[in-house]
Formats: sequence, structure tokens, C-alpha cells
Amino acid sequence: MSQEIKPLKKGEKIIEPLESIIETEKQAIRIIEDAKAKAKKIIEDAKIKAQNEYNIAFQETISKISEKASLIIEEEKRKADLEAKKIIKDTEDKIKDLREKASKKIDEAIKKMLSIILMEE
Amino acid sequence: MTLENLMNIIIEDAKKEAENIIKEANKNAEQIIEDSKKNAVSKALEEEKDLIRKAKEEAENIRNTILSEARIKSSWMIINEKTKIIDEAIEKTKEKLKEFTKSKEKYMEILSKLIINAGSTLGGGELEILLNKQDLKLPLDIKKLEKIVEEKTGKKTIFKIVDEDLQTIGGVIVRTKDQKIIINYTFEGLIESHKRYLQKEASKILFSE
Repeated sequence: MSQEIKPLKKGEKIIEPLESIIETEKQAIRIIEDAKAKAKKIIEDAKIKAQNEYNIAFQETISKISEKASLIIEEEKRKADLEAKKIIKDTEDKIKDLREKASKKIDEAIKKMLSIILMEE
Repeated sequence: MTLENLMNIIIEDAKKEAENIIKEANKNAEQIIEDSKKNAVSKALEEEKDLIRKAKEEAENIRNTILSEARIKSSWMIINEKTKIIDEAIEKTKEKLKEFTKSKEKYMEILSKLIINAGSTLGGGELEILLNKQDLKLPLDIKKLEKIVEEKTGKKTIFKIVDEDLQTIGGVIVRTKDQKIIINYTFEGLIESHKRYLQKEASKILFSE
């Protein structure tokens, strides 16, 4: 919408309207300055919030990583426990076999020990 | 355009600009927070590699400890079992020796040999013989034994049988008259003095493949 400023008529006052315009300009500047101040506050608050969010996000991520690390340790421990159980089970089997084989040779061993004790060697 | 219109336009423009300033500030604020979160995650992820490496090292150490303990336990189990089997064999040998003492002639032969051996080791002379209650009743030919030791040592030898109620399954103790030198050829004494050798020899037989 185009508007045009009408020329002053003879005798029309010029100071008062100018003062009103200046006052309005000042009001406009205040509105903008207030907005700038609010904007500054918004940014400052955002920076504080950003620091908090940083800490939260960092801790959350570290927690997830730590959980992953714990799982690695637990899994390795679980595997090692199974292997250890197998070692013991194998040893028990080996011992059974050892005793079985030894029982077949016990008479020979006794004979040998008797010959040592009775100085027959 | 009236003056009032002009003033309204100025105020409206200012309000619009103010609105834009706030809008921009809010947008920037959101961006700051968002960037901060991203930075935090990125920083934490930088540490991930190190944390995972440390976890893997710890896991490896735990694994080595668990397996090493299991292997040590396994070795001990086998050593214990072998020791047990050898001890059982020695116990059975003792039983055989006890049975052997009942075979009078053969036992007397061994007993004589032990007395000669001990007498010779002591170099002959006046020696005392200690036997258990049962063996005291054996018809040992002491004169013959003295003669054999004399021949071996070149020294006159006299054996005196002493009754001291020797507690043994068999065998003999021979000592000098002054009791300064004692040779313990009881079966228990012989087993004890030869224990390491007996264990070694028994082990060779029992556990050879």
C-alpha cells in the first residue's frame, strides 16, 4: 500500500510532529535494545544449559562405553572359567586313567621295592 | 500518510526486528546446545578406544590368571594322585614284607644277610643284635654269621642278641657294644632310608607309558 506524505499547509506546526517522530524512534530503539538484551540472555542461558547438556551427554556416552567394556571382561572371564573347568575335568579323567594303568603295574613296582629293601640288587 | 500512521509503522518495524532478533537468538541457542551435545559424544567416543583397549587388557589378565590357576591345580592334582598311588604301593610292600617274615627259611636267609651286611659295615668287633619278639625265636646260626663278618672285616666278631622288645615288622638293628654306632636294618628303617629311591623306582614303573 503506497502512502505519501502530504505537504504542510500554511500555518501548520512542524516541531510537535517531529518531536513525536523522534520520541517514536526512541521507543523503537528501546524495543530493539530490549530484544537484543533478551537475545543476549537467551544465548547466555543457552551456554549454561549447553555445559550441563555436555556433561550429561558425556557421562551417558562414557557409561555406555563402560558397560561395553564390562561386557568384554565378563565374557572373557566366562570363557576362561569354562576352559578352566575343562582343564580340571580333563585332569580328573587323566587321573582315572593314571590309576587304572598304575594298578596293572603295582605288582611289578612292589617286586622292585622289595628287591631294594631286601638288598637283592 | 498521517503522522500517526508513520509512528505506527516505526513501532511495528521495530517490533518485527525485535522479534527477528529473539527468533535468531533462540535458533542460535538451540544450535549451541545441540553442538555441545555432539561435542560431548564425540569427546567420549575419543576415549572409547582407550577404555576398550584397557578392558581387553584386563580381560586378558583375568583369563591368564584363571587358566594359570587351573593349570597349577591340575598339576597338583596329578602330583597328589601319583604320591597317593606310590604311598599305597609302599604300604602294600610293607604288607608283603610282613607276610614274608612268615616264610621262615627265606626270611632267615635275608635276616642273616642283613646282619652280615650291618656287621661288616660296623667293621666287626663286639656287636649287639636287636630283633622283634617273634624273630628272637628264630634259630639263627650266630657263630656262622660271626665267622663270615670276621672274614669280611679281618676283625674278631662277637654278636650278642639283646632282648629290648624291638617294635618292627621285621629286620634287625645292629649296634656297637657302646651303642655309639647303630645300623637300622628293620624293614621300616630300610623303607625310610631308601624312601626317595623307592619312590623314584616305583614311579618309573607305575607311570611309564
